[in-house]
Amino acid sequence: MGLGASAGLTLTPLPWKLLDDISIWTQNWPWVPVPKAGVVSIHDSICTLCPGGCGITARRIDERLVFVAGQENHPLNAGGICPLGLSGPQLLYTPNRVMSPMMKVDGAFQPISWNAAISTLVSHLKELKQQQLPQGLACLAGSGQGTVSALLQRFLTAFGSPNFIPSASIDDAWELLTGQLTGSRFIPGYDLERADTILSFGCDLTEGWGSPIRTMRACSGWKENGAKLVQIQSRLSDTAATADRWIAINPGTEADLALAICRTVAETARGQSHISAIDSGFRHQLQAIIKPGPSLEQAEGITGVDAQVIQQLADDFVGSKRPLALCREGADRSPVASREMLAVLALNAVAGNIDRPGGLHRIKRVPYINWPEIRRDDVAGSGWPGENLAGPLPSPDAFFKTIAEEPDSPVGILLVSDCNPCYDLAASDRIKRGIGKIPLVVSFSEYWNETALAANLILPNHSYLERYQDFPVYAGLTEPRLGLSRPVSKQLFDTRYTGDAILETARQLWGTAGRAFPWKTYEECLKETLSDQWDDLKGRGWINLPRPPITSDNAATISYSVFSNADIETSAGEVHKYPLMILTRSSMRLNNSAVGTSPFMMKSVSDTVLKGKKGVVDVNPQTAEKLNMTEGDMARLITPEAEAAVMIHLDDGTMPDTVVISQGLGHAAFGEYLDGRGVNASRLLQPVLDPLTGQNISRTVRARLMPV
Amino acid sequence: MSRNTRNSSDQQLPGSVRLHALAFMLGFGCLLLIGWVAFPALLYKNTPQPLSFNHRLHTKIADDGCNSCHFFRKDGRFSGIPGIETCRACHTKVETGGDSETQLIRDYIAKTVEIPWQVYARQPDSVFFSHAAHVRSAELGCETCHGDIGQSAVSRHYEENVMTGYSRDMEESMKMDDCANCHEETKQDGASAQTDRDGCFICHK
Repeated sequence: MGLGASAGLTLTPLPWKLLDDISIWTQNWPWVPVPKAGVVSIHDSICTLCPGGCGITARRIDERLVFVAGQENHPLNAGGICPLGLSGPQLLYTPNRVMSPMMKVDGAFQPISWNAAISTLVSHLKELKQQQLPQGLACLAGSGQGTVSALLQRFLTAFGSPNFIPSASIDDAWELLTGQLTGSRFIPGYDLERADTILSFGCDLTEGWGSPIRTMRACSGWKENGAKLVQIQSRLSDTAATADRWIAINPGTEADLALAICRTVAETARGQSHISAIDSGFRHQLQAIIKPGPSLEQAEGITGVDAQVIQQLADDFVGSKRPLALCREGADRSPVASREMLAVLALNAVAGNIDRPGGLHRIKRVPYINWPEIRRDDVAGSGWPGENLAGPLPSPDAFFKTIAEEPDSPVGILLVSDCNPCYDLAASDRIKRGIGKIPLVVSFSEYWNETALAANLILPNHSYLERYQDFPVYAGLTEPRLGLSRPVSKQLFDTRYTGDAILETARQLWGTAGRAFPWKTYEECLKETLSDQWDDLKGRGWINLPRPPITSDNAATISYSVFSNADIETSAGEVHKYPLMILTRSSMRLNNSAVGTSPFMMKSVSDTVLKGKKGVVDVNPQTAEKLNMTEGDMARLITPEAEAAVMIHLDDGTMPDTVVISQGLGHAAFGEYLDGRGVNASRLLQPVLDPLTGQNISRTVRARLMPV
Repeated sequence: MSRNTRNSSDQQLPGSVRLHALAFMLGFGCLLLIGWVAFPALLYKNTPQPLSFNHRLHTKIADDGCNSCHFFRKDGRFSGIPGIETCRACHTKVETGGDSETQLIRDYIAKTVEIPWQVYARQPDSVFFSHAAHVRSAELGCETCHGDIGQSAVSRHYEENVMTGYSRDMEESMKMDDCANCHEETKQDGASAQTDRDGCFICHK
């Protein structure tokens, strides 16, 4: 019978079907989440996670956002997207979002209602007013651009405080410098696509420079078109590895090399003719920049680059049809030393490529926020702004220096919007101590970042995928744009526009008499501000900004004494005590901004950057041998500011006596994927304020490595 | 004696064979029945559709035939199963008085509730299927994959495999082998795993 049953069984589909279904069943465990099926729709917006302003397309199933990709027909990124942009859904749904207003009570956060949160802020503001201390209110903003930033600044002005301190971008620094240099403020727009000889002074072109995807596409174009990229950098970065030529240079001496090339070019007949074609005011200043520049021999001693190589670079540059020199940017497009910026600008000028195809275009910022000026009587009983606590060239670093110097904080209420100073400012441990001195810190962060954790009150903003946001994009473009991010996801949590929180606070402070804030909602404010551009922006997501002409014959005086300071970026650490120099490295896989790095990106970080929870630093084998260290050893990395435990990775592409450390790690927030992983490079740095821009330009610091 | 015994054994052998043959046939027959009848009956759960839909009638009446409800959007995506708003566009009030129409208006259109159709051709979550590539580019008719559903007057019961959760329709004519066979027969190089090295990600996202 058994035999018959077996024979019968083989002639039925039962065993084969059962086998097949069991295999499918094992692929469909009930505990594996499967997204609900629904109607697919796609929605375009722009990404506001970095200043690049790429177009994004979100895919939704019914109301649920499931995917973010690059927008195919966007002129900047044409479908391309970086790992951070691709992480949109993780950044939207992360449990690390602040899901409702929170207030710290006895050291622990508790959710509160929006009414209670705004009332708390208003009562503290009224207290400041009663004490006749309106300047006791300060605000740190992620940028000085856009309507939210403008609303915050307006709120402070109305309150009577001058202490609005935006984090300056390199564009802000360019405006300041070019205003002083030429009498006309402009931002360089680099015509990357048409250049044929590119001198990159330490720019991480493939790791997020300018508008990252546009830059990467231009790099690919250079390979196809036969354009030549020369990378001048102290370490063998990814950009250096893919360049046509890599010039290894002593750290922090890029400006000297640029000035030496400038001087060499200026001495040629071609260089002379280019200089004579420049507007008179600019020409005068230009000659003053170039003149104190080092000779070839001096430059060889400073930069470590052979004089013949510098001569050859100058000949190739001036001899090419469309030369272009590119200036480095700090993390998240923060400024670098003004000396370096001006040297690169001068190099482009002597090469005769200003406003030429393939050259450096002078782009003027176009103001589009045209609100009426606040009058003193607009807000009853307000004081009037005096001098900024952070000095005439305000920067977050200068602000915290002032806070640290005073025994009691001169600031009673600090508003923090769209930035994370407790993590990304140099000497971040000091910043944390400084913020601890301020009685009320109000964060508008949508994420539990380090500064939100240090705050007393959190009024969470919507995520960038849930909100409208005006977003001017310059980022080295020759055609600047105004973008508008639009909500592509429904609102998930009890969050509010920062703009709405400000308007509600203004209403509760000044009632309907607050004529400085006539809008009922932030969306109304935005729509009114963008007026006849609103429909275009809402439909397409971006518009080209006009290019007003540049005139530069009214140059103001600029102090050139800074140019003699060859080692401006080196901090005060003594060379014999700290024989090594730390260089920071940015990566597209690690995000340094207030948003943090996504879990998806963390999975792509190499184990030569992060090994488990240990931060890895690159050291030249010769240096390691001198220190009696080898691959995988743990060491103490000590700077005059702080120390950290690091793992040694031997790398021939790292210059002897330097230590390369990645930015974007070592968080003390953001949950299990980021918290406690690696070392925060900012912790080790010391702030160095640029004498012309007032911004922190510290990227390096002297250090020593000690065995554990 | 020994001769008698041997004779007796010789006579009993055919009976034993018959018994074994009977047992064999019984087992054989039982398992055939189990395999072909009982197993499928146990494996598939029969569920009626929430409404009986008359495709034949609708394709005759609707202005644009099948395309009235199953259309391509401007960006090339296929609309699939129509939502309740599509039904509402025609069914504002009861016109035929039929049970299904009455139920449609009372339970779904009036309450703006989507009809919980059981989709015969629902692909597993791991599969991406482009209607545009097959209908527009390859010019396949709907019936190539969906059979003559366009001519049906009532909605069949939905049969769900209780082990896998897949529909029986999908298992019988729309499994990966069916896709692969068609792609091989029509020599769609580079458009499936069977014909191109990187073909997996065309269907499996």
